[in-house]
Amino acid sequence: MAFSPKNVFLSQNSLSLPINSRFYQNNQSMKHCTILALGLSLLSLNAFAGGYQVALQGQRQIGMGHTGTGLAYDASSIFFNPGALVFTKTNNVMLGGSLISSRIGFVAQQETNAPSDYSTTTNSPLGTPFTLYASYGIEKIPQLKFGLGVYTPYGSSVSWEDNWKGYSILQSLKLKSIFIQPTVSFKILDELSIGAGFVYAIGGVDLQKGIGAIANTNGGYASAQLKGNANGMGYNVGLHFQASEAFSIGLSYRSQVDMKVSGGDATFNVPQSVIDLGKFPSGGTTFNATLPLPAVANFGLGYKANDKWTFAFDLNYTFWSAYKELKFEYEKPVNGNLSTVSPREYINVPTVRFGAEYMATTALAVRAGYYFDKSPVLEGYMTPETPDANRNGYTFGLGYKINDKFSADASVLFIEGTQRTQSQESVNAAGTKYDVMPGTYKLRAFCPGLSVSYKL
Amino acid sequence: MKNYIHKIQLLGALSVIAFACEPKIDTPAPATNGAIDVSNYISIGNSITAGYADNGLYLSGQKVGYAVLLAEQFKLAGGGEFNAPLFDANQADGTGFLRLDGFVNGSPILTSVPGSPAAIQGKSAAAYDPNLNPDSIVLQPYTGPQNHNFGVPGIRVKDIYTVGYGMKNPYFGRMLTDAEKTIFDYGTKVVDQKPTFFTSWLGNNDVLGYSTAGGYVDLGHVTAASEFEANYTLLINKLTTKPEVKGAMGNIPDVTSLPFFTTIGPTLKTSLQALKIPAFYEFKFDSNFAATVITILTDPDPNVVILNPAKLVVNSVANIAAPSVTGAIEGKVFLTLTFSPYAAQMGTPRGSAWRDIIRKLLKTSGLPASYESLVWAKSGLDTLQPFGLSPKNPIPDVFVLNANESGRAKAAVASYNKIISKIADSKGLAYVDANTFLSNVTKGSYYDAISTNASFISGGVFSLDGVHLTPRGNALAANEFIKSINANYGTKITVVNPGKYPGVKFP
Repeated sequence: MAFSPKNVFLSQNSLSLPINSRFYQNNQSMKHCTILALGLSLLSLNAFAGGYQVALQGQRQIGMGHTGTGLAYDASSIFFNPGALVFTKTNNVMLGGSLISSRIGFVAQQETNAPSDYSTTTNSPLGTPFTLYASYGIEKIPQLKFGLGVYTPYGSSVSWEDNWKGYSILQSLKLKSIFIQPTVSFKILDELSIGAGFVYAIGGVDLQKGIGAIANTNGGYASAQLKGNANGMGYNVGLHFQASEAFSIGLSYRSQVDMKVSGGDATFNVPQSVIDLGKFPSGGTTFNATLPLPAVANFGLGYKANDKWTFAFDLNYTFWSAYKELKFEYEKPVNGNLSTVSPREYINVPTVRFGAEYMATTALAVRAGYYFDKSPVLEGYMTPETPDANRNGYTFGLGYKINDKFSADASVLFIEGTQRTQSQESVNAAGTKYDVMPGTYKLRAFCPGLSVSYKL
Repeated sequence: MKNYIHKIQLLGALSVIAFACEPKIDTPAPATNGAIDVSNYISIGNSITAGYADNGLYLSGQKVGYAVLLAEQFKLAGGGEFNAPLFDANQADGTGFLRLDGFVNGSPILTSVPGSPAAIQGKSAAAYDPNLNPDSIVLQPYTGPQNHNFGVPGIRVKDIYTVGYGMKNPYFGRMLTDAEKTIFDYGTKVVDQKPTFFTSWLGNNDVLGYSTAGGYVDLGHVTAASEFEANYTLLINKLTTKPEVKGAMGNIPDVTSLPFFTTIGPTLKTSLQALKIPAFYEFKFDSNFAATVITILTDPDPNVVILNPAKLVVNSVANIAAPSVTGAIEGKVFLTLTFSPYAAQMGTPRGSAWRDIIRKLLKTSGLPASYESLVWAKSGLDTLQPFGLSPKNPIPDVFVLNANESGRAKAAVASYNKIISKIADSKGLAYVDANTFLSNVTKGSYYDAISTNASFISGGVFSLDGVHLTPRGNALAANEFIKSINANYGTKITVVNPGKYPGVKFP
């Protein structure tokens, strides 16, 4: 090696140390150098998290605070309560969708003597959940109805400003899940029905993060991307009880779906010299992970007061405690590890929903609703994917019957998250210093939606 | 066309939606509350203050020195212009620096990038002073806007009242006109700037030169505490003549925080212990190499040799400082980063460490290069003996900070820090405990989910010379100053975001 001894000498200047060229190269037998301990917890993917349970599964229901477990209204019962499907009066095909425009504001933590004026807001792309429901029953067998639902109950799209303060945890995340649910609903008694659907879920994840411990020579940082397709299975069952002409009760249970990513691609944009050190697999590696989409139990009441007014109440209970941790397993070691685990420790939470509908004319319905969504995320576990907080949802909707065959529904949902501060102490206590950013968060989202229904 | 307009309208509608969704959280405004006046901030210090990094002073390092970052935060709270004496675009490589070019077998390849010829005026006529101007250079004068950053690489507290210091130290010299060079001392120059607020981080060099030279006193001295106290007290007194002038003083980190001293030792210790080698030999130089060489060379007695066995130090391998379970470095014997090319030669019949040092010492002592063979002949060295493990082929002084020397360095740091604390206290100045800060860095720390530690290259805090800070290290240091200033004066200066600033850059 080109080792020039005259340069490899201590200069006299205390703070000028001409350790010039290639001063480690002669060391064959003893390595003094540093093993790169870059301390990255590579993946802290908070999959399909609390706030990203997408409560946008039917336009009429959204207008009424996303209630619907206790009402048999249309083919969207396939999602809300398969048991109620047989009580819906017509055969429909419904196609609908919403836009999610959500923003999360962040202000860095304020230590007593180290205030920070750092703030940022996510510039997340619009989310586009959609629903397709079709129901079919034969007149001759009124106690039986079939249905097919395709919908997106979980998903998220978060994108933080480039190189924001928490870029080493997450730069952006896209999660998609599409549930396909063939369903059958059966009347046991005139006033009591049950229903069940099998869920096959497909989806995908695309996560990008920076690696702040590794600067490159272009003034940027190393980064990692995890991308993969996922699938899983589950079911959705329900029971509908038509207590009277006016009053109905529903119970439903959507099972947990474990979304398995098998052989996803982990790629690393890491300087060549770091790859040479063997810290990152050259050309990337594959990963496996399982992301639980938790079960939800629902109880709903519907009350049709008169020809004009309908009221609904829903209570959802989401079994988020299934989400204890997120583990990624790699085929080849990444920074010396074959797996990474980040704690989540979510808790089960209820959501309460209220909605009302008023028939302004025989064709035009006006709706409004409210819900309170309790956060499953404890302080100390508020990751940049879901720095979740309790949320208030305010909804409005319109329904219009265009003719005998067509009707349309529109809704808007405005979500106001509670401002929530995650303290350094809570981060220390949770042991999540490589998974979360202390600071103050606030979410707002605006979700307009539209659906068209065709009566068969 | 109509369709097009339609799309624009749709985009417009969506942007309204996005706007409506903007969540608002109030952010604190930086404020001084009038407790301090940062309108004319002057930074006082040595190489760290100058933004020296990777074994050189160069433009991109100057731009991210902690003082510059600090001034940017002050600006948000009423601070004025702050100019560092930057090299211009033609002088961007400054005095040259080290660059990481990759790794071979896990070991880094560091390449020396030469300095900019446009930055260097010529050779100094002033007497050679190993502590101040090893290359005996004169730098081109700084000609930009009025300077506020008086970070001068190499400066000691010992030097701050040396008249004509600009002749000896080219980094100070470039801040002065030719006429000023001979008449000014450093302390007078900075007081002349009439700062309304100052930071002073001096004193590292009063002990570091001694330490990095492995305790070889020809190459670095420890300033006497009394001289340190007298000079520093005078400087701060003069700066604070007007009671409304406020400031902050940084103390001195212990050698054990610097990768320069903690990179080679621990690995060497593991290797030697694995081979069950209990101790290694170090040869202590006499305090005046040139005089010793000349005396011995002219001594007719053939038994008089340079390598006087009485000067041998036996260092216990067990005493080599290594990280403890808590991550702190514990132990008394340190090997310098400059020993890295020779560390692998330990136990082998090699003499390149000695060859290199004899040549260097002849050069720096002003002795002819032709003396080399004479020195070898009279050295008493036998480089066929195992290097470091034989008393006939010991490790040269400059690579080992042995137990006595590290004790002396630690004691000096402790006494200086006591003095700095006392002065800061008496003047009500903010006291920045850089020693504790860097000792915490060695134990491993993190911010914004990025881990940092004092590891060489990978730690993110120390640059490629193992002593000076990376841009990220400078950002963290600036925040230490801010915390102390806020605590002391009740101000609300906001912190720097360290994640914006890189550690060592990997190719």
